[in-house]
Amino acid sequence: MSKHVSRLLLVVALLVSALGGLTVAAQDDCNFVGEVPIGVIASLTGDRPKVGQSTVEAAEMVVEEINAQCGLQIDGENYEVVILVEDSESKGESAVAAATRLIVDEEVIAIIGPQASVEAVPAGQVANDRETPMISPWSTNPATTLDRPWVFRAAFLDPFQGPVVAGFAQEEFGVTTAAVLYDIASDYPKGLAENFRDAAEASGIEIVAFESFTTGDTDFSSQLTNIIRANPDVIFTPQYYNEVPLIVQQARELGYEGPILGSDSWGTPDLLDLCGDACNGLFFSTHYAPDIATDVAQTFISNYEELYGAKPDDVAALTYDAFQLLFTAIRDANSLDRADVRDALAAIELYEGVTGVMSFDEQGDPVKCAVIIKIVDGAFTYYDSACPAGFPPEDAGEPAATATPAS
Amino acid sequence: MDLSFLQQFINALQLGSLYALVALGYSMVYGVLLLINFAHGDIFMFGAFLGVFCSMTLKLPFVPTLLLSMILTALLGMTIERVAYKPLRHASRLSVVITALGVGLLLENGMLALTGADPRNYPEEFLVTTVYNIGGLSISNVKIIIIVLAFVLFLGLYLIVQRTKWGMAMRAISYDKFAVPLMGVSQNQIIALTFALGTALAAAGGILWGVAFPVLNPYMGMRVGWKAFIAAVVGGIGDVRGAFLGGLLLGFVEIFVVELGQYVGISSTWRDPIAFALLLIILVVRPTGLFGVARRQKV
Amino acid sequence: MSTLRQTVSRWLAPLRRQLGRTPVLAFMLAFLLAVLLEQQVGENFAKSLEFRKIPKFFGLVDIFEPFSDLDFSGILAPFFPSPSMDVETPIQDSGAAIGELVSTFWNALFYQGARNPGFFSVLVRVLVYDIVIFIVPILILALLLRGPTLWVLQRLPRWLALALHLGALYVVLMLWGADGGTRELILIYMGINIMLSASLNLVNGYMGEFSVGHAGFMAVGAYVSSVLTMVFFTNSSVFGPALLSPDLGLPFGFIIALLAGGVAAALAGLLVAFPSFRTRGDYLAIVTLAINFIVTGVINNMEVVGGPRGLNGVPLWTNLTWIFLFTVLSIAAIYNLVNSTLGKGIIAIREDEIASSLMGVNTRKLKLVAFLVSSFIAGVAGGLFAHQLAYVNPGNFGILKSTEALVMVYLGGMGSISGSIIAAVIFTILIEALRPLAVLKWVVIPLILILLMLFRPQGLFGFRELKLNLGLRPKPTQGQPTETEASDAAAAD
Repeated sequence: MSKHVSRLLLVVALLVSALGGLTVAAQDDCNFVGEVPIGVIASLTGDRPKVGQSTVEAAEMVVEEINAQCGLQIDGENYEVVILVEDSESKGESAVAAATRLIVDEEVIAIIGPQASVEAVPAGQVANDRETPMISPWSTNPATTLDRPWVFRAAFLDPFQGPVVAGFAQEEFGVTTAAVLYDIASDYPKGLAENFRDAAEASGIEIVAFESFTTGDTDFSSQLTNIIRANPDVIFTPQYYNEVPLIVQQARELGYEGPILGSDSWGTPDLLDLCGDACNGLFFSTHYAPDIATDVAQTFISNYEELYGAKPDDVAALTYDAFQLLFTAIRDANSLDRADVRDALAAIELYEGVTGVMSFDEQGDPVKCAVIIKIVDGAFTYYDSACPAGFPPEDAGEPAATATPAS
Repeated sequence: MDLSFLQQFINALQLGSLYALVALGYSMVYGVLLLINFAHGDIFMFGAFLGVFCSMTLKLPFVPTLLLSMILTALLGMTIERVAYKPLRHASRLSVVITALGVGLLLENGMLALTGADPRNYPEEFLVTTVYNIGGLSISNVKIIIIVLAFVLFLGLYLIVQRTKWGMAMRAISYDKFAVPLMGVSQNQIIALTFALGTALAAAGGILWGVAFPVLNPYMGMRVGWKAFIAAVVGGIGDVRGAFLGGLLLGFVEIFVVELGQYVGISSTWRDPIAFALLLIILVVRPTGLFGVARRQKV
Repeated sequence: MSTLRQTVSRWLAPLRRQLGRTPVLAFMLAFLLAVLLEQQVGENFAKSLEFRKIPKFFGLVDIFEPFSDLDFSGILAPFFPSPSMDVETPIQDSGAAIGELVSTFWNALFYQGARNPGFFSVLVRVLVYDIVIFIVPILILALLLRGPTLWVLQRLPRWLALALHLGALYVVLMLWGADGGTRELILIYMGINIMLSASLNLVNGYMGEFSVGHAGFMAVGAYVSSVLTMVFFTNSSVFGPALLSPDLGLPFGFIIALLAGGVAAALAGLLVAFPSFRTRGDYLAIVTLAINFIVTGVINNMEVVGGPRGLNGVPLWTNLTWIFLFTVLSIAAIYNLVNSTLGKGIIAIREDEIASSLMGVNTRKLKLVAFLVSSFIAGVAGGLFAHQLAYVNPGNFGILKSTEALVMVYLGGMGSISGSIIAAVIFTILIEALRPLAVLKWVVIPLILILLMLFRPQGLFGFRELKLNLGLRPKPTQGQPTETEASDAAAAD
């Protein structure tokens, strides 16, 4: 008896829902005349689930914000922004599948993501071949955008960041020797480690140890013992937030007391929670300082905290900026044609985002400043900034560098 | 050889003890069931996460956390055996292995799905690190605790296997699993006990690992599991002494490839290929591992 | 319930009997016509069903889309707090998360906005679309075509009839699949997966060894063939201008590069084959695992090919035609091998190595052959994979990839080529269909695997082959009847 009833209910449910799909959704006050579909490729599973989570959170937030302002206005009409999220599983082939699906099936205007270069380089090939604008917020591998007019990024490149850190080490600590510990099997740390080494050697710092490990390792004691024996003035480790606490703690346990420097991959609040007191007093270079009082950044940070109950990491900040860049380009182009949007993106000059002022160079890489963060009492605090030569132009006004720290 | 060589020795002892604890469980299960329990690494992860539950949510101190987590994980191990492996006891060996692979994937991804992607650690007051500096040698209390506990647990297990009736039954089953039930020994009970012991050790390994390397995530067991599996095989899978020795050996190889590599000009980037090549050579020279006994095949 | 099923099956019995006598070729031709029908009316019909476009892959890729917002992470997270979380009342927090999940799930089932219809709505519309466009036309056309195709097939020599099948399959795939988008991509991954699982089955299924490092051979093939095509046939930023003309690249350069990749992978296979003379079983499993680690570790250290950065700029040459060609060749090679005298020897090794060697089987030679062939095919698959991604990275070929290959082999069943093929097809579709579930996908797939193993430990087709009614003329030597009762439906039981 009950079986029959449940079956009947199921059939009714099927019919109702089939009809439900046909009814038209209630319209908002904005009178949206259409949609702007934007694809998001994020690594929700695999090696980097946290990166994917931040990406999606930032994307959902920025889209909610823009739709609260009645979406994007093109020719005076309101268009609702819709994001379509695909999981790249932290794998190249899945990123390719996701990009293809977004471009061909979902007909997105543009793609934001994927973040890691392992995914962004092959996905960028798809976007470029299929003439769809793509912005990878976080990828630092030059190959992602190289000779690909349709592909952009929001993060600065290794060849810029390496010298920034090396220069900072020399100015701040007057170091003459340095050691590097990095993940050989991951392309971001490796690229940065090599750029740091080259820059340091060029400016007269001797690299006394250049040690590596493999992704997933948690024991660095042998490498650190070697490093400590070489007695460097400073250790540079361009690793991720989930490895830095281990490296710092193990270095301290093994008796190293000098400074440890890092890069933008440190910029996740999780680092502070995981590291505890051990990370106080350390420095790293990154895209933005959470305590700097630019309005854009402050609004972003407080909104994000309100929504998700945690401070945004650099992935979230860069993803947010990538979206805003795209929105700016769509408004400038006043069109939903992929080619128009691409041209407008390439033409963006001195855009002020959460992560500072930026312009795109001819490869689609951003020209922007880096900031040096010091970890003080378990918080990221602004310490210094470094800009590419001649950027930003004098008349544009100084960005982050002159702003006063809020705390 | 200077002091840092001795330092590396201690480093290797710590890493090796952790591998050894995980390898023991692999080896015991293999000895009794001839099953490569690929879920073992993920049970290790589960133990470490239960440690988070005990210490953060129940606010227990170190020793009760360790014990409670070992007990709960042992229950999980027996449940997995009962639900997923037991029905397949008479099926092809490889179907069980693949089931184990599936259970492992299920555990790690289920954990990720149910708890989210944030990395975990233990509260700071859990085990306060103190570093002793003895003549230039840095030793932390954590290292000492890990090494000592690992050896104590191994000795306890060894005594159980060698000196108790249960242990005798375990060895008997691994020797002849058809005759032993005829002697009135319950095969199911012995297998359940083996799983309980093996997984409890994995849980202990997981918590100690979490203390030594306090960044826990649901995928942490995958690599450790594969490595401990290799350690168990190199030691001679099925033998607890071999597994423990294999684990220590793997720790020493990993650390000393880096240490000795610098004298002969090999960068630490080559650590993994060289470590695995060394283990391969051991296997080629002794195809059944260090302690393994070649099973004579009856013709 | 049971009476209902009996009634239905009684009604369907004549149809099943009729379809059982229909040769595969008739279905293929019918499918071909259905594809033409879809091209004519599919777009409009899909629009009338409120789809924005024609459902891809029979809508299989669309039906789980409504569940993409499910988030289970709140259920246990309060009990396992991360350092950044403030949890006061774990049970209440967890309860709230469950409540939210239930409502999300309810919405996902029924309705969640104009652009995101509910699951049942999608399911019903996908079913309607498939039945109208594919199932009904194919059934009718196949029955109509049965007579003529049988008539033709009976008058053709066997080899020609087989070639006709392959030709028809190719035309169907090209017409339906070569859309340059999702379908083609899924079919390409499918082909690569078929090659991987079938080649691994040769070692794990037919020979009874347990190789767990198949991705290592794939990596060797991928890198060698990519380097060759880049050095000789493309002007790349990595290796400079092409040594030979880029015009020669297709088709000859590509074939040579793929074969060279296969040969290199086969050489790497020797690293496993030689230890296998002395080492067996789980110890050999370790050897294969270690070789996988070593291969990726060595590539990470090779600056020439980009190390961990990967090799970018591999020409995008793989397409459906190449995949079809190499998949068919690989399957044919493995099929012929296992059905030859050598193959019987390989199976004998699985059954009992010592006994087979006593009976005069040269076990060393056969192990060499099996490992070489298996790793050769994996290498070619790797080459095709690299030229599809246009980018190779050692991270692509880790333990996870090897695990996928293993899963496919045991899903399909050991010692069954058709099992491997079907498992690869199912697995690839499953991966794509479940993609919207994100984290849950890798919960669902292992669950399916475990349940399958518990209820069907031998896999879908363990040690059996799927028998298709090809409607061929009987082999001259064996007097078997052509009208075998076995058909798709019957063999799939």
